[in-house]
Amino acid sequence: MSILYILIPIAIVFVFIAIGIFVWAVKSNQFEDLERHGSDILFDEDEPSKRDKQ
Amino acid sequence: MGNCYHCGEEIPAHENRKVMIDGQSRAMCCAGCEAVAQSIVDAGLSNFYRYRTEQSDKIEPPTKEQLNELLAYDLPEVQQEFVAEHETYHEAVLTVEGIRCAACAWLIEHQLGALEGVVRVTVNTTTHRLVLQWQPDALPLSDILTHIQTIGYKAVPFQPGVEEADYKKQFQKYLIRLGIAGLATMQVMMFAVGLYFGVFSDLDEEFRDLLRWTSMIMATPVILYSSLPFYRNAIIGLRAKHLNMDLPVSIALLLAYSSSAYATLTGTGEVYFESVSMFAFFLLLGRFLEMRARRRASEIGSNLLKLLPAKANLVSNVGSIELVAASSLKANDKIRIVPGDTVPADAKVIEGESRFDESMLTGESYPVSKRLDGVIYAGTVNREQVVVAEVLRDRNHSVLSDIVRLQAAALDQKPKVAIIADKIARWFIPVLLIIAALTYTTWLSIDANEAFWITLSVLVATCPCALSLATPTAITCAYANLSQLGLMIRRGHVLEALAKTTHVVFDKTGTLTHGKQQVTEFRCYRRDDIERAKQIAHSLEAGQHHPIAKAISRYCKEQPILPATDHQTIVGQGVSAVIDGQRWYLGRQKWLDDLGIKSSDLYYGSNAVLANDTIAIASFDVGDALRSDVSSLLGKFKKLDIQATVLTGDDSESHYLTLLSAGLKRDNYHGGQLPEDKLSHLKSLQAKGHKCIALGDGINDAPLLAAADCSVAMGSGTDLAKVSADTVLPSNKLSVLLAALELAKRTASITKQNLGWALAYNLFIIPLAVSGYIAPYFAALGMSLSSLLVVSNSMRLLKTK
Repeated sequence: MSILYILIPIAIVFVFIAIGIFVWAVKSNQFEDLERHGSDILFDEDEPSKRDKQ
Repeated sequence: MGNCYHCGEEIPAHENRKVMIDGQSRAMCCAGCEAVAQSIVDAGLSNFYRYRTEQSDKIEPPTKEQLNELLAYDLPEVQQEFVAEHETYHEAVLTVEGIRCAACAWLIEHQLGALEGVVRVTVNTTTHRLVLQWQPDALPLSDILTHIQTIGYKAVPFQPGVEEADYKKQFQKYLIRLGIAGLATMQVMMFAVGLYFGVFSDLDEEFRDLLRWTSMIMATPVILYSSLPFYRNAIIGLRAKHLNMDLPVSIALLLAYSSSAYATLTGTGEVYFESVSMFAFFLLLGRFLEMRARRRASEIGSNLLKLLPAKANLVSNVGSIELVAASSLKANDKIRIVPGDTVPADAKVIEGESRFDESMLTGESYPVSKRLDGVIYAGTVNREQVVVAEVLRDRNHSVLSDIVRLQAAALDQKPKVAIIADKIARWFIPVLLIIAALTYTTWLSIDANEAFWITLSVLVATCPCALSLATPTAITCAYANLSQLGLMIRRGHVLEALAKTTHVVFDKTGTLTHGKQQVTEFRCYRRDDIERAKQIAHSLEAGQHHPIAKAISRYCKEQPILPATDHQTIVGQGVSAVIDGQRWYLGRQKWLDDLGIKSSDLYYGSNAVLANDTIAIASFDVGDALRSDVSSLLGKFKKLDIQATVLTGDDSESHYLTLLSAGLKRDNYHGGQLPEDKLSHLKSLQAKGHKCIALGDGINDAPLLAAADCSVAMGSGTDLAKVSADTVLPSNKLSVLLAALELAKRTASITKQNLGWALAYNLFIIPLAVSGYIAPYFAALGMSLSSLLVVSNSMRLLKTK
């Protein structure tokens, strides 16, 4: 059972890391628009436009 | 036929428009959609059509005047209101109409990003807003706005609500508090499992203490950071000398936490870390959802308040015309006002004559004619011809700004709505504290060692978790439902006010009526003549500026215009022209009588009668029609025992009889009301104990809307009305009001059920806790279950009937 003395502190460290990441995410406005950014990865960059070709 | 590839609407039979998209020819329904689709393809952004998940909006191609209008946004005085200047670029937030899905954001960002002079564009699809950073020297703002229009969206600056910046800061803080509480609670719960199992199987004291210590480490940020808002509110309440719901919450949290900490340090008693953490998390969640609903409502609400530039065309001494901001106008400046323009300042006509729409200022539905030396007022709209006028006084002293001041004063005196949960808290809390004190003193004499722990279990078990979730959860769900109904809430406590309504005060022009002239009745006694009559009427009135003429052309717009010769306009009488070799007349019935035309008296009372040189064949009644749902609305109010009053600025008795027959009381119709009259009428109603909803649309309604217990501005109304009102009705459908009233009543009754349940649970648990029968896990279980019940009861408000 003494393994608990290692595992529980590790668990606590993980939680604090998670809290740190969460605070960072909120502060960098990642929760301002929840609909949009999920689909960003699906959209390709634009094809070369006709304007560029000319 | 098929549907338009861009907007999805049905394509009219006579349209044959095609755009090549990704190598395929796609059909379009109108010139607007065609132009937009073509410019999307030309910019190499045709992927938009592949990415989008919703159809786009149908687009009317912007007129030249509309594009010219955008130029005013380049004026430094106008930009001052919404542009932030940074070292190398300017930044502005715009609201964008027409955003449907993430692909729209992609399209706008790519279209604008390719422009030289644009530094950065970020589109937010939740709030329908765009943050634009650009270099004004390289590219004027009006150009950027035009570019957004060419791909089918409309972007304008808007007036952000005063609360908005606060809301954002609060929202982020709350989110962090909530996140920490959530993550920590999960951990504490996990350790609690170990502790509870330890109760049944022998847990070594050593491990028990380890679990308690770690629980304490995890619960500390929840109590000392996440729960800070509760303590703050409790202290604010105490200072204002009234007990609110946050006081027992704070007491329970702090007492349970500190006693658990004491138990941990000394290795005695019981710990409640998981209960306090979960309790704090639930409460934060409820408050967070409520705040998010309010924030969203306020953002969408301010998107409606477009910042229209108050601009003026200044005529210089040499006669040249210059675009300036209205705020810079001084007395004796000469200004030119073209049809469709809003008058920028109170002024006197010195050249030309025209009709001005003063309905937003006076409630008069018919445009008022102004000739030489006639005074025109800021905020009214020129309807007919170009006039030149001399400014009488600067904008800050105009009639318009007097009304704005009256509105601001009225807003300060707005009655406050009492929140039912706070009322309950006022007597519930003292009772709770007295019971706890009694328990402690009684147990001291029975078993001094147990006294503290039993008192604590009383406090935890009776902790008003469900009680304090009762209102926020109900309100959050009701908000979600209201926005689906199409009522936008701009300020809090609308639901509470709606539920108590006893009296509804309406403005007439623009609120009960459509606010513009239209054909209300078309009479033609021979069926064969109907189509022909409309064709001729359209041909006669096409291109005329008179409001009646415009209404008739709009009414007959489906009919083709026939070639007409010898077109004559007789001012104040009517028009005539020769069509297909025959002379036709369209005008006042009296005029036709004087011309000796037969049977025109059949059409007595109509605004315009159509006749050839021998006989009258048809007539048009033109007026400002009542909205179709007014009668049923008044009828329903009668059933609900809600009184209705109409306060209108105009003196005419139009629609008076219709309103009476729909159920309006004779004494409740008041004409000729100035803004201050409306306000004092409302105040006298409120003094009699009535809870009033006010509906309005005009500038003259603004003070009334600001002072009412709850107010609704029509979506078609003026900006000042929308700013003053608590809610906005973008669809202009009055029946939404009924649904909202009903929902408010339902919310009130569900809140009461929630509170009733929470109280009943407390009454049941108190005797058990006082007598010392409540084990800590049972207290925690009971609390969670009653909270869950309250939340699921509130969810019923999400259902639309």
